[in-house]
Amino acid sequence: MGWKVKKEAAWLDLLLLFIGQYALVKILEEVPVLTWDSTRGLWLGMGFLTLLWGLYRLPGRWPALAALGVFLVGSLWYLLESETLQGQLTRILGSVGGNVTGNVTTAMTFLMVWVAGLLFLVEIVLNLHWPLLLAGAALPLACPFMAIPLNLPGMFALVVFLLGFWLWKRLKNPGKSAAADQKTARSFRRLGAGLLAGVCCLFTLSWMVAQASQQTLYTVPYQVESMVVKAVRQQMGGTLDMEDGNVSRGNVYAAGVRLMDIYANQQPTSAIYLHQSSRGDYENGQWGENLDGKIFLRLSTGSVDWSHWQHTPETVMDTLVYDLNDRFSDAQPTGLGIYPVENQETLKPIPYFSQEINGEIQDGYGVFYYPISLLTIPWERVEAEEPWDRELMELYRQEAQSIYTQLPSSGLTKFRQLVEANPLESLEEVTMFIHHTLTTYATYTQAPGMFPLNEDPAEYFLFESGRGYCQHFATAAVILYRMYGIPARYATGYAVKPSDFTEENGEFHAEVTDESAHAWVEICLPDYGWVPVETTPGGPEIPELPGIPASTLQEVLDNQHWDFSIFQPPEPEQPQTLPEFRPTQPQTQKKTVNLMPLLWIGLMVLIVLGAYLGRKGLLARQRKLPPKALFARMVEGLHFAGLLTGLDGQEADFGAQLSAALPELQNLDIPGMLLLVDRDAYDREPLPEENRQAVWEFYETAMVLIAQRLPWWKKLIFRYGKLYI
Amino acid sequence: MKKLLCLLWVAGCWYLSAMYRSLPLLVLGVCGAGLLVCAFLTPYFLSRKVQASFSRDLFFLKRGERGGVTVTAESLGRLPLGKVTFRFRLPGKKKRKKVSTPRLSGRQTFPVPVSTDICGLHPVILKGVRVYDYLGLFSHRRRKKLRAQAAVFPAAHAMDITLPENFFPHLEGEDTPQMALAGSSTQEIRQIRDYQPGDSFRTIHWKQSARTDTLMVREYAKEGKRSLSVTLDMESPKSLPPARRNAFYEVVQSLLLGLVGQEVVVQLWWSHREGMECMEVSGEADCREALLRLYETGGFFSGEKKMLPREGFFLDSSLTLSFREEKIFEFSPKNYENELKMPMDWREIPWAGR
Repeated sequence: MGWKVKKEAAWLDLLLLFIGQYALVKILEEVPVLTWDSTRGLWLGMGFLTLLWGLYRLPGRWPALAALGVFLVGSLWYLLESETLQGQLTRILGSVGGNVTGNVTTAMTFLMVWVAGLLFLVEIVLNLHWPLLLAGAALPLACPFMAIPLNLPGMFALVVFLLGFWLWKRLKNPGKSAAADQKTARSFRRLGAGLLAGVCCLFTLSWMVAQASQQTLYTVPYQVESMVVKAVRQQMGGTLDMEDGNVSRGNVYAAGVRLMDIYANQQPTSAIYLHQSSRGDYENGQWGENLDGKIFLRLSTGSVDWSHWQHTPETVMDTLVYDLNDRFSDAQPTGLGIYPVENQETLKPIPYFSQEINGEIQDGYGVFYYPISLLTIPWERVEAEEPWDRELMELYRQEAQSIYTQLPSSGLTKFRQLVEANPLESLEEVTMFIHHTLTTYATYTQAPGMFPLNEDPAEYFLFESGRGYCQHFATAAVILYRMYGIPARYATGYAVKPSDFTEENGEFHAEVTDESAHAWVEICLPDYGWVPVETTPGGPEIPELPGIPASTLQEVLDNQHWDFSIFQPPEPEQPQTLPEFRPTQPQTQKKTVNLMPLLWIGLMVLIVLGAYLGRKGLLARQRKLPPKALFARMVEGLHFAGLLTGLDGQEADFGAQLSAALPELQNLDIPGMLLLVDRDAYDREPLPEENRQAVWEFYETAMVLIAQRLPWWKKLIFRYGKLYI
Repeated sequence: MKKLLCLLWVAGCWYLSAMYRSLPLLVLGVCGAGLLVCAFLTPYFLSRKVQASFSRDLFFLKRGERGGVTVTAESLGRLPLGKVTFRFRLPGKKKRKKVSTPRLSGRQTFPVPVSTDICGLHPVILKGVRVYDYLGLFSHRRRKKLRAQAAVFPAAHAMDITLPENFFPHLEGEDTPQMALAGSSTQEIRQIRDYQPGDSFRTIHWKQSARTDTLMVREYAKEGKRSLSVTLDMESPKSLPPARRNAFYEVVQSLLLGLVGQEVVVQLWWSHREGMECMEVSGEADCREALLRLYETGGFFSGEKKMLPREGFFLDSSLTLSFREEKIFEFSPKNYENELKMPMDWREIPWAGR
């Protein structure tokens, strides 16, 4: 391995390296947080590859080693000296967390040249393809996780690069000098080229197939995933778990596992939200624990003396509204018997505005509750008879105001921009704004796909994919409510629709499965405490809020002038119009030198030098070819010039024909040369050196004469393309 | 493993393209799937265009020296092939040996090394050919059943024998047992040698020529030549280990070469399961031919002891060499190689009067 490997660098190697460089540039171009001029990086990278390739073709290993050494030292010195480069590289590293970098062309160009050197070292010098094959195969799979969109030219180039080297290394001949092996080498090279062309056609065909049947092909993985998840859940008995506070970044598949049975004494007329838990703070897709304990502690140490109350603070707050409605209004509550199934005994969700029925109920528990539509508390009477109730609720609400409007200080940029573009005051406006935004710019689906790991799931859901389910709708709504200063919580539990109930023996029975698991928003309203608000499509067209008529909310919706321009796709920033990022630290005593122009000139010189030396190396290698191979090249050259095209050199009168075509050769011993070529082909012993030299000289003379007969453009190809002389 | 990784990669591309609604990733996945299908089908078509054969039916090898058989493989199709693997059943090996060539275009010949530890005639069987696609992921096997034989001869070393004077006048006139072999006149043939320009067509030894791929001719002996019989008792009550068999064949060859080196025509007799056989050995080529015939008749066997002529030298499986039932030398199975290098001075042996 390494320098002991027989050196070999064909044209196709260089072309494939160019393609690999291009593929990487095209992928990095699409990174949203990076702004850079990719053209510069691409050309400099390709130029560096050409230089290394040309030097590598020279006899001996020192030219390429020296170039790599100079590059290594030079680039490290530049890195240490250039504050611009250091600053930009730091910003590039910071972009992993989603921070925008600004224009970082210098650093990206630097990295692209390094990548070019690495490509050359691994593929050509070390002759290892598998590390790059693995990296290249993993790269397009990793990009979606980091929200890096892929593009077709980049993918095409990546496929050609990975497969090209894979095929090329398996098929290329070590390049022996005998004619039969050269023929074999040619046939394998042609096969390799043919296979690469086949791969290109296959890619094009794949693109056509993918375009035509995109939706069908997308559907299959979802179906398979759904089948597998449901089967596993049914076997293992697991259920859909929303209680951990995680906002999912993938699909949700309910298995239909039965959780509880509910019996009602009358047909419910609206959805019953069986509340299981409410969450507190939000951080990057995770809802924290409930913060009511903090509120009650503050209330305890503040103005509320809980010893006057019969129950615990939590129980008081949970049942206060039910109790007031029960005592002060004529509404009749609905009774519910809730019976969790075996193995689900820990489940104890309860509806809003309810009170648990005292007494033992076997295998379950009972509650009375009021739907929102039946909350008709006469507050004047309550104020007059029990003013402490309202005071308590107001004190709680004030504490909730300070705690349940907290959000992370950074991130959620697009939410903030949306709120800043739509300054709203009243609860009605905010509620309808949120409701309208979510129903207009998002679609409900239980299979929205996967969300990138480096983006907030709520922001990605609302502003990029526009697809999600209850967790995403609820999270987005809570964030918006909090940004508008309205205390809101993320709540989970089970939503049982009226249509789920069937009448059985005078009772109304509903079977609750994990398909009913749900997430919604709770907002803290004066006089009513925590009220559920449905923000997921499929709920009521106008949200139901106690004490606020639907007509009021409808009127807000009808007269809205909200600004949704944030949902329009922004114009991509052109790196050419954006100034490069430069750190703003004060000047140190050490002067920084702008080396870019020098680097450009130096690289151009090295490229030209490399190309020149590469050509010299090729010609030097050609000189070592055996006489029969030189003769074959001479015949090729004659055919290229349109001379003796019907002959292949084996004819008895070839010598005479050659003499006629190139009269200047008449002074040379053509028959003697032909005899030497035959001896080289068929004798067991190799020709002596002086004979080989004679054949070389003959070849050189013939090629010069042929070149003189060519037009200028063909001469250029003859010398610099085909490298005959 | 590579196949599994490729399949997983294609599945991963497809899955992630659906999850992220990414058309380029979907195209990549479809392209990968198409490539796998093509790679799966390619070896089936390529394998139909591969021909393989042994370059000869019989190969001559020397014990202890590196050697093998040569196989000629040819790609008959227009496309050159990638990796091709040939499976052989080789002598002395329980597992099949695989020999691969990374590329196959046109006709190629390559050696298959064979173990030369044990003297004898060993079959080499080409069991099958496996052709891979150009990426090396999938392959297709075509069964073959081609046989060749590798004859492993002992290293040539002529015994340094000194016979008593008048040894052959003592034997002159006596009848040496002859076995009439149909269709030949064994007394007349002196040796089998390479063809030289001018030799008559009638003297061509076609059988030997076919075996060795070179023209061989019989050279007839003059009358009155010195001749001697050597009898080999190939019967052994129990199976002989390879080392003992090697020793036996080495002693036989050494003895024959030593005798023919003194211009003695040897009538070589040996027993085999079906009976007895005789060959005349008058040169090195005859010696090799005789050993080959010895291998072909099955070598050592256990069974009914045959009635064997004892008019001349007699060698049995215990490596005891005797002359007219008089023991001359007993070779040691462990030290025979050194013993064969020793000069054998048999002038003092009481030949006369028996």
